[in-house]
Amino acid sequence: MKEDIRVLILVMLWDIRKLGRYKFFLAMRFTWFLVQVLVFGLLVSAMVSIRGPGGLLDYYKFYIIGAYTAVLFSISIMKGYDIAEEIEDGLIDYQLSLPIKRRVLALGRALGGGLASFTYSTPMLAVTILALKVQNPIALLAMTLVSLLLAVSVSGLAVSIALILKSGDRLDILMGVSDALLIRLSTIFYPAVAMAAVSLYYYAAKVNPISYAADMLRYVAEPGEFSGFLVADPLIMFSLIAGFAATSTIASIVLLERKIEGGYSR
Amino acid sequence: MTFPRSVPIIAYRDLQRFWKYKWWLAGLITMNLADLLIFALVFRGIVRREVVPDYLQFIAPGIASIAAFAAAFTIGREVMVELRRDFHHYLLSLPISRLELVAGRIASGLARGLIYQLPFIVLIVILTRLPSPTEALIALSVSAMIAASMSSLSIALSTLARSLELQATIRGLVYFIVFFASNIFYPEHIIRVRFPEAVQIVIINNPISIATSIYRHIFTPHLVQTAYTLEELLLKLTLWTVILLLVGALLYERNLK
Repeated sequence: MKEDIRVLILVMLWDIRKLGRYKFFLAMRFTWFLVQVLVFGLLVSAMVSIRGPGGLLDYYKFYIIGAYTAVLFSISIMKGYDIAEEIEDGLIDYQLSLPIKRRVLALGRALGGGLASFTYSTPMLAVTILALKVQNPIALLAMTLVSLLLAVSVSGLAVSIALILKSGDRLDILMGVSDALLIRLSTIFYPAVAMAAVSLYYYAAKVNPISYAADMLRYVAEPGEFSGFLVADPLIMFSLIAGFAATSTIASIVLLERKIEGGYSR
Repeated sequence: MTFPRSVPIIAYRDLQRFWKYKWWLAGLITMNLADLLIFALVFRGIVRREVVPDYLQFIAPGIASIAAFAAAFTIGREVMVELRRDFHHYLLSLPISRLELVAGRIASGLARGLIYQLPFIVLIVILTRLPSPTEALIALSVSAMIAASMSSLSIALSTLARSLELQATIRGLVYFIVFFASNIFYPEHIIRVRFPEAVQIVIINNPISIATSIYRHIFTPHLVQTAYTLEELLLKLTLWTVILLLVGALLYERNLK
């Protein structure tokens, strides 16, 4: 058991250590995030007015967390897709030749993707924390935990979809469309209360896990500011995020194991 | 001097290749439509009426600009891959001059931008008003200028570095900056309130901002919030187009040597 955990950590670290490969992508994402926060966020916050049960919303603070969630989502999708591509390229042959149990390897790859995505997003998380002036250690810890859960969920989901679809083209469109739709039909840019006028969008946001992650991050960062604008009760949000992470991780482990067992040819 | 036949042939060849990226195109269309039909629709309910009376109508001309921009910008990626893989040696061996090759590539970006943008222009007409024949001509010339200038910009950027990743990063960054640091999402008086004059000048004089302001003059005149007249905007966009065409063509030509 002890040895399994050590190997699991090694497999996860293997994913994180590939940071250098993504330096340009990450630099671009970081700049994109800064432009979003320093240009888009600042300007839009001067235009909108959203009133909730607790009074007027500070849209700038609301938006910064939304922008971070969007970046984390995008990095996690990319990471999951990358893992699936590595399997496709035959890297699994090398990994199977190592003295690692199959289940540990599958779990390590599934969790490693999420952990790596979260690690890559830490500069953006740091900017978010600084901008919101979050000082409470418990809030910082909770923000880290929620971000990690979202990263694990999304990269697990991306790995699973990539393994099911078995087509780079179809995966590309699904990722593009989901990026465009899931982000806009969530509470990343606007609170659920602002979407109530279009019921289709409102209910889509209500069942969208990204809404739960973004609102949970808001709640733990500044409960007083955002309590009146949440998509659901904090306990329900946390349970759903944890459930989503567990389900997508299990799905990716099962699919990865099946892939290893049944061969990786397509 | 007769118009070289090779230019439309090169442009046609590039255009044919454009349709091969059907999945990428589907993603781009979804994103542009989602910006208009989800993002703008929800924002219409939360943007203060005294700032923008109708946000959906306000943003629609900007989406048309960005559609032409994004489609025309794709040509740079192909030029980048060709230069990286030395495919341009084959292109240079063809019985065409370098100038024709460069003109063909820019014409291809222009065609991509115009064709991709057309459905979005139709959508704007549905959402706003039918322009007069003169206004329609102005809109067409603006679309042509924005597509030509953005394809030239994209080609120019693609010749800056040898590394594929670095080039993709540069192109991505420029895309984001041109997209967000424009007046697509925000009226100019808000930009004036929030930023110092230098930043304000950069944002308002970005070619995408200029094109968007002209479209607003044509399709949503009641929402025009710029200090410039239509003539001034057209002159500025023409200047941008000439400069970017020259820079793009010169850099591409230099890299072919």
